[in-house]
Amino acid sequence: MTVACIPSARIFSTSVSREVGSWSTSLKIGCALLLLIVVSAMFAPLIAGYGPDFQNFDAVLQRPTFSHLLGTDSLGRDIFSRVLFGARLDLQIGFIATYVPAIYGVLIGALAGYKGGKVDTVVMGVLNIAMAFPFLVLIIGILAILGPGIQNIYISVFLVAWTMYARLARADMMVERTKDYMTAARVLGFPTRRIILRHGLPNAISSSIVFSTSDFVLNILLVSGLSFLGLGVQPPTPEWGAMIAEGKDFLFQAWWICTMPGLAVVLTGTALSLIGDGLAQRLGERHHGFV
Amino acid sequence: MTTDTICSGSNRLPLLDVVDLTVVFGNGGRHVVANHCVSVSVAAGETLGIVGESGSGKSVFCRALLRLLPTPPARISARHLTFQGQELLQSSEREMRRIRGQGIAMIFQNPMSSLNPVWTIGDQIGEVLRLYKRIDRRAAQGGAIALLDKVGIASAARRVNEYPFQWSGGMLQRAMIAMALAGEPKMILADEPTTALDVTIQDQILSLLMDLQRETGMALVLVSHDMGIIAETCDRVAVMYAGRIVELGSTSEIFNGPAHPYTIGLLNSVIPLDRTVRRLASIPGQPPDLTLLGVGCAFAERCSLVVDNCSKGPIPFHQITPGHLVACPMALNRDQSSLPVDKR
Amino acid sequence: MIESNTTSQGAVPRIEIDRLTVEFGTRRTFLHALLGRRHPTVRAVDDVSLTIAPGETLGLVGESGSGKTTIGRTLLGLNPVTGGRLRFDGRDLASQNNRPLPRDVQMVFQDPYGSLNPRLPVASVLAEVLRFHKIVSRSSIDSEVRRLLELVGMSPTLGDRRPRNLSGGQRQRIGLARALAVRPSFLVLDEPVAALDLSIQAQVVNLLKDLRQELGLTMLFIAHELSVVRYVADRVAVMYLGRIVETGTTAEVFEQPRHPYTQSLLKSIPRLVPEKRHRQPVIAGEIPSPFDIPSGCRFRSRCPLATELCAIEPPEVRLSLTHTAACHFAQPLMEHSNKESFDV
Repeated sequence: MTVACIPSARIFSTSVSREVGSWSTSLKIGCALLLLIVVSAMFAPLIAGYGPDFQNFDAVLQRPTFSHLLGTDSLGRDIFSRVLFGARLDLQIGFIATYVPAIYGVLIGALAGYKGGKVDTVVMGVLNIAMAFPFLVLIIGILAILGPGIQNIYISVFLVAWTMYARLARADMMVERTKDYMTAARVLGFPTRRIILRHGLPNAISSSIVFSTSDFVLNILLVSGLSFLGLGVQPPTPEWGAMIAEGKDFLFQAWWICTMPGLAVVLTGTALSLIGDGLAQRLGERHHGFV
Repeated sequence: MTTDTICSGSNRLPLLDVVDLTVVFGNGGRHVVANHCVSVSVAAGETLGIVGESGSGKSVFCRALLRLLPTPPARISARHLTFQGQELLQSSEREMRRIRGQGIAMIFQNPMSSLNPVWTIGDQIGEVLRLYKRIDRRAAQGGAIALLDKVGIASAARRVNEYPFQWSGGMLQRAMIAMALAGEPKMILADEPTTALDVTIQDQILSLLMDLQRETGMALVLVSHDMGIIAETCDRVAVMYAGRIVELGSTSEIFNGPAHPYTIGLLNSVIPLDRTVRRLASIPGQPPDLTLLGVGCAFAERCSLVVDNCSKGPIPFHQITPGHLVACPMALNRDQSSLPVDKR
Repeated sequence: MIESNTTSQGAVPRIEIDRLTVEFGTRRTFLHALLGRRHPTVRAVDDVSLTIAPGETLGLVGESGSGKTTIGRTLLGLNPVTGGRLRFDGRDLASQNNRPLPRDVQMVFQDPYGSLNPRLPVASVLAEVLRFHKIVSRSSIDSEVRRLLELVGMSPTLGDRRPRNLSGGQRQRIGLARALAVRPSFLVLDEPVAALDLSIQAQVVNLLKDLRQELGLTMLFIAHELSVVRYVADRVAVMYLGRIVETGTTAEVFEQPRHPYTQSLLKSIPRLVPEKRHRQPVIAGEIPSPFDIPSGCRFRSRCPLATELCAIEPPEVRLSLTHTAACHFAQPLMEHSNKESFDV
């Protein structure tokens, strides 16, 4: 795409810093927090003092000390290390479970929203059927049939999680469709594919993006919950939910086994929530202009 | 006393007296001076027209009068802001509520969105009546029918139970006027009341407003960008640009002898209906960015009469005749016909 | 090849609308189909015939429900044609699904805020059009974008701005540039200045006039502001509730309107004369709902001259070579029934 002025690197960096400067405080904090979590997860092998599976029977159920920052569990494993390694898993699951269905969900919704008519009716019919299934029951059912494990969780999520995105994208697209710049694209002879993908969709995904931040958290909680129930990750893999489950028997003797991974979930959820709020505001400003 | 009352030589105490009203919107570094030292007065029974384009601050002015602007982002200050002698900026929220609707009423631009879509028209007008007088639902319904009748709705008794979506734009505007009249206000602020309406319906609504004004003796502040409407309905006119009043005078003074270059430019931009014009003299440039206003005249960059002093400091009002004020030093000593026209 | 009418110069008209009817059906529900009921339809455009000669600007005026916007959109292929024919340069468009080629006919939209993609810098909007239609070679796109921006009076540095950083007038100029990028021979302008400030309106209409001259454009100018149409158009057609009530040259229609609706419309527009109005509105009553159109002459429910004769469809009375009015009481020079097309 050629533009009259190609921004030089210097101009690019100031426009980035200007952009970040205009962010609300919650967006800045949320991003910083998430960045911290992601970086910690990425560099887990370097930061963690111990391997996540390393068992030390001399240091069982130890409270947080300098050598074990968050204490140890019933097998003498360092909680801090396990939380860090668990972060990798949870973030990965959250990301895939959120953004993979988001992609095709948004595409389906945008198509239905733009075309209307029969296409819309068919898509909405499928959507309503998919949404009619109680999500958790469906997942547990599938896991009962296929067996527990991350892969099967993905399968069930991919089957139904797209619906919310389709709905949001459809609604946004139906609004954008009425705007003159879309009509102009039609009048200019652009094919439907280009109009939807290049003109409509970028303006119709704000709701979906904001929703994805909550979806991310919910998916982490889903996996944590399933692992807690024994249907998700299998031991000894560190995963926050699984860790909470393991710690529940020691709640009074060694509260830190449950609480620390729990705090990790809360922290991640808060970061994402703040980002979601900030994004909602920022995307709204960009779309509608400053008031 | 304001410059306005001194100059108009009027002995009547003004109904509304505004001196140096300033409204600033600011959030972290960006300040928008939406109104800057706006001074104007309205006598009882008088019609004041406020003309301006977008960004002129005319709508902000109306809302500031009734303190309808949320005051964290907005900061309102004035030397005087009195209505019937009462200082509005010192009044409590309770006192303001009394004034809104019963002292000063307001009607808005888009009648389709100014009425609640899930209530019947009768209920909405009735609610207003019950707020001001202690009457029951029955009496309020009757009052609503009477008001609708007064504003020219045919078969009011039958239509009073209909919903806004069943009424046309013109009828909804009449309903809004009825609601405004419910509190028997001394003054009505009309913010572009006919902009969203068809020309023939606009004609009806303007006649209605004039008739009602004559009947009730209310004052009317009519905000519009349409010079024709102002010419036909107002006694006095204030021309606003970038948050400031640039010219103030009687309607005939403004239309027959405009003094400020912006006013002249604006009048030149109106395409006459009764003769063919070969070339329209348009004002060059764009309205200014309100966050970047300097000390001097806001119109300087678009003005053909600009001199160095124009951007140096605040421009005081010059008096052409008692009652006709211009915020332009060049206005007094210049021949109108020599104003160059934009040839682009 | 279907034979087409010719204009008075004997040239093939650029656009010919021949007895066009456009109906919109409200949603056909299952219940309707079950009960065998016909779903209610609205005839937005009813048996309208117009021609536009090459290089001519036809102004199309009317209020809400007149059908003028529908005609514009139908010419672009945005609405299905229920009846009648559309011809472009003599070619019947029915074979092309009643859609003209994008390189022949383009449109300028009303809303400067919605007519541009909020995410794209305006230069890339223009570049995309140039690239898609291969108007110029890849290497020349930048310079062509610059040329287009200058053509509409904008500095090329504004090219990398996004619409939200441009004013309403600037956005309209971009909309115009976008339409002109494909070098169309016919332009439909749907209320292009309605949402602009007065002083910016003047700039944009001046620009349109200049471009029309420079590029030899044929234009259909749809507007509700009669004054703007007077300035820009060569001929005018006045519409009411889906029918044309009067056509003629600009001078004829504005100086000697013969249809009561045109006369009332012109009288309803406020004049720039500073005299407070004491009159009754020119036309009383609401514009009829498009579902409930009066039989015979559609204007008879509000017409000051209406008699029982008006329940019969009025003929198209030819008042001069170029001037016709659809009214029983228009002064005839020659009488035509509206079945015959008027050729010279």
